[in-house]
Amino acid sequence: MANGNGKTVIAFGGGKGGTGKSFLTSNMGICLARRGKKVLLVDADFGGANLHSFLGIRTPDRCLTDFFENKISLDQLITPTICKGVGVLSGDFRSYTAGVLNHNLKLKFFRHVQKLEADYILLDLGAGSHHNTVDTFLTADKKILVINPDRISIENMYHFVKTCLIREVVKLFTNMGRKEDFLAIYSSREQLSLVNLRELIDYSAEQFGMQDLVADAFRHFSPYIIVNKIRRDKDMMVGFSSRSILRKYLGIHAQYIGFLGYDDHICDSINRGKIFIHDFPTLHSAEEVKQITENFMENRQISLKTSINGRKRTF
Amino acid sequence: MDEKELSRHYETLELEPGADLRAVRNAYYYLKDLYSQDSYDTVPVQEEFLDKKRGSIVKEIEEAYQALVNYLVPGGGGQAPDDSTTFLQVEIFDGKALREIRESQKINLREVSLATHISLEFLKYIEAEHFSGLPPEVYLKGYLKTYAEYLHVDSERVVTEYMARYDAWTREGEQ
Ligand SMILES: Nc1ncnc2c1ncn2[C@@H]1O[C@H](COP(=O)(O)OP(=O)(O)OP(=O)(O)O)[C@@H](O)[C@H]1O
Ligand SMILES: [Mg+2]
Repeated sequence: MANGNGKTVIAFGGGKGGTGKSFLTSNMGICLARRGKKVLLVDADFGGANLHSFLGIRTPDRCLTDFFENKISLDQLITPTICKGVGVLSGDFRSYTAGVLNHNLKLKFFRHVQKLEADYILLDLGAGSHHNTVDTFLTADKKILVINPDRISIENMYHFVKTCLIREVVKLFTNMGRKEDFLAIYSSREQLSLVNLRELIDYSAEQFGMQDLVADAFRHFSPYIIVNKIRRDKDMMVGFSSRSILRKYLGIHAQYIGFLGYDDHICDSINRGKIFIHDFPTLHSAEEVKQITENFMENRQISLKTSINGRKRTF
Repeated sequence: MDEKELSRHYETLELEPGADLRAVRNAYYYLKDLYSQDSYDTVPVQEEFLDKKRGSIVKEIEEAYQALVNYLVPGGGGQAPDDSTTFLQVEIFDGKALREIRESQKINLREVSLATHISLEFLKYIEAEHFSGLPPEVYLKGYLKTYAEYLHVDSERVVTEYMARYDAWTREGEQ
């Protein structure tokens, strides 16, 4: 699903903070580069930019203020890393606060990002389900949800996905000149006894004969799921349950591409200014990151069978 | 069953069309559990989870499973092995019971061995209760647990009841 010029934009999101989005963006990016691809990592977490820390860069010499205020082109702001083929665009602003950055400026930023030269552009999003975050997520060709096996993380992920779907549906209705109609249904959803999102969407689609368009949008959404920080074998099942629930309740098809154990080496390596997968490539968790990247590239999923009967990990 | 129905059932069990009996069984047990009880991964979608909807999901899963087993087991004659009653009827989990459960699920020992990493020989001995050929107790318990989990039967009961027979045999030997 790469866009025309063979460039693929991959976004990492999922709602909750600290699930490992930045860690996976950086480390999976490095794995992709090892396959001979040119990879650009973009820190799109303007409020809490920290992607550079995962890449052994203490403070980036350039920051986005140079782009927004000093009109320096983005490609000049890319910081190389010690990993071949991997560059990073820091989301750091220094004095210029990210809060000042309005939506239009962000859109401008992402328009420029899409034009940068790379095989893969990885977007590291911030936490939360704010419209801006979700909209950026939705622009990506491939969308990865990073979750942890805990209730809050799963809750936040569902919320994030639902926000994505609402945004997509609003966009569709807007394109059809029916935004107001949709919002009217939305605000009277209780009187109409539309108890959940799916019913709301199905009802609205039916009213205006847009079932096919909506179905298409949902099919197109199809995100990937990665479960990070698992501590026992059964935690990996969260990938299946989330996938199943997304499918049965929201009607979207997600792919469960892998899991990764909780490993203190990850934090340690960052604290010591190291790059995890580059400096500790033989650790079990490093192998897991490689496996996830491979599954992603080859379009492979974790199967219930392998996870029940084989490939047990020891904690 | 026509193509369309078949692919709908596979879709219900969230499998690729053409998945084998083993995969069908795994998916069935997993999904049935998931939608039959509350767990930390389903509670967050409570609002989407009207009991009515959930009931109909479980029903679809049951139907898909029955239909696919009928389809996949040659000569099944429309009679799917009804696992739940088979297991409930088991009075004691001895070697013979394990073999019968396995056979009712149309699984051969080689498949079990591949999936569980228990040698074919030990599996045969377990089912035949050829106790003298079995490994020391600690290993045996582990194997029984793994095998029971593979068959989706109560592993605690299997270990306790099978080991009681094993212990009786050991005591006999000592006398
Ligand atoms: N598998 C893991 N095992 C142990 N620690 C991990 C693992 N993955 C990530 N971490 C650590 O968890 C912390 C949060 O990770 P990270 O910053 O990648 O999350 P994030 O999703 O980007 O968070 P935010 O939403 O705040 O941007 C970091 O300190 C990271 O080193
Ligand atoms: Mg982050």
